[in-house]
Amino acid sequence: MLEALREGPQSVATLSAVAGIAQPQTSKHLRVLRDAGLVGVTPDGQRRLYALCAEPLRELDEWLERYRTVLEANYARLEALLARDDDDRNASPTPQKKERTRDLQADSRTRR
Amino acid sequence: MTSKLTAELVGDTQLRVTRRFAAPPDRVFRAHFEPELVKQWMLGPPGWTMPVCEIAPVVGAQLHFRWDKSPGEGFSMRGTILELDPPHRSLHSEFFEVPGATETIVETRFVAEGTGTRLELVVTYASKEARDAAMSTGMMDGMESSYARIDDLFV
Repeated sequence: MLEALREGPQSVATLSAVAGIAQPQTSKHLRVLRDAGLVGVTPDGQRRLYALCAEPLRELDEWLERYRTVLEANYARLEALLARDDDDRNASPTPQKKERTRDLQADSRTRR
Repeated sequence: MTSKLTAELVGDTQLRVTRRFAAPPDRVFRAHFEPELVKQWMLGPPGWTMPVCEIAPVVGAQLHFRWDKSPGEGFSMRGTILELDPPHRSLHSEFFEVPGATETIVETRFVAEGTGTRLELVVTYASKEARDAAMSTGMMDGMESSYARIDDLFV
């Protein structure tokens, strides 16, 4: 239903056909979307047209896009680290145990 | 590169992230729980530093991460490791010390896929309202930056 609305304003009859559900159910569903602020309605002669309220969806999309970008910056570095780590391990083993013990001690000292 | 990463909302209270890595699960797992490794990659956008990175692969361990944009200007995340099944799965709580944030539970799975790993993160918020609030906090604003140099990160 949201996919159809992405293409432009639609009548209940059209949305009902697209979603493959009866009109009363479609209307009920649209009411939920309206209450959530995702869909708005405008009169068009005898019928009413439903349209996406772009703002909430765009905000959500933007948030997710920024979230993806921050995460990907981290994971790209992790990927590079793992690749580098691979080379290091082929060259010489690192004293991982010792490092970890020291960090654990640091952790317990600063714990609140 | 971003095609490797997905981040999407699930239901009313969850956020799911997936990312594939060429390295096997035990190494990806280690890179998530050893401070000397974590602080090399969990830095956020270019220009940020991670002056505090406390974590250990132990149930009950307290997490404390801090990120700074400039000295003293940044934010912290605290949490507790709740469950651990190395190198397959972990469950921890986390709380970002920024306005509007609430505690979340994060389940991380390190799934073997061929010779690599599929990392799956599911963040569960206390309620839909909590998730909505998190998406409008300054958490992202604080980390926003130019990502023009992101390609430089790949070696």
